[in-house]
Amino acid sequence: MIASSHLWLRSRWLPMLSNVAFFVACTDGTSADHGFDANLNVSGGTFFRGDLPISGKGPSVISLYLTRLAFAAGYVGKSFSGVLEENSVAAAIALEGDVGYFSVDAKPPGAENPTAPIFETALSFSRDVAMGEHRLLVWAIDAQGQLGSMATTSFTLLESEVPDSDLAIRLTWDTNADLDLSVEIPNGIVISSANPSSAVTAPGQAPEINQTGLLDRDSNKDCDIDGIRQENVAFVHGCASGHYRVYVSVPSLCGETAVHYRVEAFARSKLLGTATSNLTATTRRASAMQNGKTLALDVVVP
Amino acid sequence: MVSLSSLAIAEPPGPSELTGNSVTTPEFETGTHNTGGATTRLKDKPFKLSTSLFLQNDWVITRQSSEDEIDRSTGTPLNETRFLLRRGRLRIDGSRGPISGRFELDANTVNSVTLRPFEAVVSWRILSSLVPNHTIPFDATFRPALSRHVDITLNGGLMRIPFGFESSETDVNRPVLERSLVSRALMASGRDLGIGLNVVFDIVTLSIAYMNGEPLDENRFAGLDPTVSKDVVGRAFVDAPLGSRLKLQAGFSAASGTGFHAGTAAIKPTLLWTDGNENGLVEQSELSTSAGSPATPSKSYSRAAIGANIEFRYDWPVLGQTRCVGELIRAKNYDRGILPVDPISQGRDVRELGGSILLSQELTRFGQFAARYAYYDPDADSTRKGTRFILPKNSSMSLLSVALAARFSNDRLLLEYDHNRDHLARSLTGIPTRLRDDTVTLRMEVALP
Repeated sequence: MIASSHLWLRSRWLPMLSNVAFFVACTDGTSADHGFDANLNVSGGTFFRGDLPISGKGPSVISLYLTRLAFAAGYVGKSFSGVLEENSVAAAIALEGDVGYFSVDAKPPGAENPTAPIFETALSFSRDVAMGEHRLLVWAIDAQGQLGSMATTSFTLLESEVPDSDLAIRLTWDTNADLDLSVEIPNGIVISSANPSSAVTAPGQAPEINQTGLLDRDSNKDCDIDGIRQENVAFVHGCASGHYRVYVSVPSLCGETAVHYRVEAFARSKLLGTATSNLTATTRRASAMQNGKTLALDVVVP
Repeated sequence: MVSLSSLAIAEPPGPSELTGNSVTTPEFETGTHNTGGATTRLKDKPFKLSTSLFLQNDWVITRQSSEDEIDRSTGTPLNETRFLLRRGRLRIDGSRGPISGRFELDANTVNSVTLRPFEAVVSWRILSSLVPNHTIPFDATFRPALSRHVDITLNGGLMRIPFGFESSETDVNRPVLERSLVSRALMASGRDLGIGLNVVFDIVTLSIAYMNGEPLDENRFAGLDPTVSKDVVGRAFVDAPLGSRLKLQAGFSAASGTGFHAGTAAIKPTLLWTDGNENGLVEQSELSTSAGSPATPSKSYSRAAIGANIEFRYDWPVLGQTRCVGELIRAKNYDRGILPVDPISQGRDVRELGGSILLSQELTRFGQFAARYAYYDPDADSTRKGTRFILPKNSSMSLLSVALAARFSNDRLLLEYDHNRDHLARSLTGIPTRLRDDTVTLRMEVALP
């Protein structure tokens, strides 16, 4: 487990000895551990399990930049960058309390600080990380593998975000399956991944914003797993009176045996109603025989 | 019926890896064959069929790189500590007079459950002075008789690639589990489609083949050929006694051909949105365009390889044979098995270098010990990005294999430890470093009959 105050000096004689004793040398090098069980994933980084070999003699981190400090649990692809002291060749990044850490290569210095290498990456967080405040721990690493002093940045994990709108429909699910949300609005238009906006655009005119519903994403599309497992349809600028029929379809279970999903409707973040269901391969096939989608909610706007 | 000896025509090539049960059956096809005045209808000649079975079942007792996970992009397991059918070969050999055919099926569970043709060769023995069942085309284990003789055979179909010592060595005779890194990289499975000529003159053997250049196990076009031009591959070697107990084999191989770079389809310009401030709203400053690109044509590139090998064999009384084999191969743009190259994409030629040294010792007829060091550098000019400069990168890999086998006639129980040295992982500082991937494997091997 990563502890910010832990120090461990890696002895240098062991790798040298293992190079001489060819047969005993099965422990040097890097393991093939991908760290799939870690709560943090760093894009383009190399995972190392266990504690960091901190010496404190290496370069320091000059600054860190994390876009938005409060975001939803399970967030995928959060931009994270930093400026490192001269002579840094890499940065080690860890989520406090995680099972390991990641190393990412430093890039050439930017124009603002021509002597300081930078790092740029994207962070993804497991849904197992508890809500609340957490710390990212970052160290700069020099060419000798020495780490300098630790820098930190804090962030807060929130429950899944709901768009602040007059009417919002949220679909969430629990496994890495491909689910789709679609909403049939009172005028008969169906908002779906194939038609993510209900706006009717006249030729040569700007799209109508009022009473327009928008689908924000197609999560896990074609089993390209993004980990978000959430889709929202939001009517930011009013919504017409009538029935809003909310459907859920499962294009693919993506190898999962089952999926549990929840559909919620909100008006200005106030929960109007909820529907939950389980789908297995069998029930999905049955659902597919009925146009492939299931009516989950019928919201009536007076 | 005319006997084969009276026709002065040797039996066609027999099985190389396997010997089989023979069935002699008359009347197969029509035709005539003139042999110095004695004209004989081929349909009157007997034909022989033999079948054979060769099984290698592996138990990978431990492999360091195994994980109880799957590759997220391909869905394949990352665990390699398992039982697997490495080779399950069923082979039929048929011959009548100078014409022979060989068909071999391979079943394995290396990557998935696979059943495929592995060899399908039609051979025509043009000229031969050998005694029956003595010649094996493209087989390095061939031991010529001391008397001067000549043998010329034309082969066609799915057959061995005559390049390098290890591509020619049979799986039965190899004292370690697999071929060396460079042989697997350049020749993949060691089988390709084409035609070839095999000439044996006394102690000298010359094999030359004109082939597709896309061997089985090649990643993209295995069994196919995306280019009109073919690869020319050849090997020449001498196999000579240097006394009553010492034998020498020395060979030289060369290959030249054309590789293929696939073109791309046209890409339309697209509008990109990067949610820079992560507020979920599209803002003008977050929009950018990705310029489209026109379709690009496919291209071909030249590739070549040369190699040399030497082998000493010494037969000790009682103890058995000692073998020492060394092979060195240099190539350009020829990796088709381990890290397939595309010099068009890379913008430069890719130079490969590899070799191996094998030492094996029979321990009476019941055991065998072997050790092999194999080295392969798939790209001698590879580089990596540093924080300020482009830096040279070491891409080489090596494998030390130590094997101990118990032998029972043609069958073996073989235990092998493989220790790897490569640069496939990255250190804390981002430098390519060794990926722990040592393996211990137990192989149960049977060759029937």
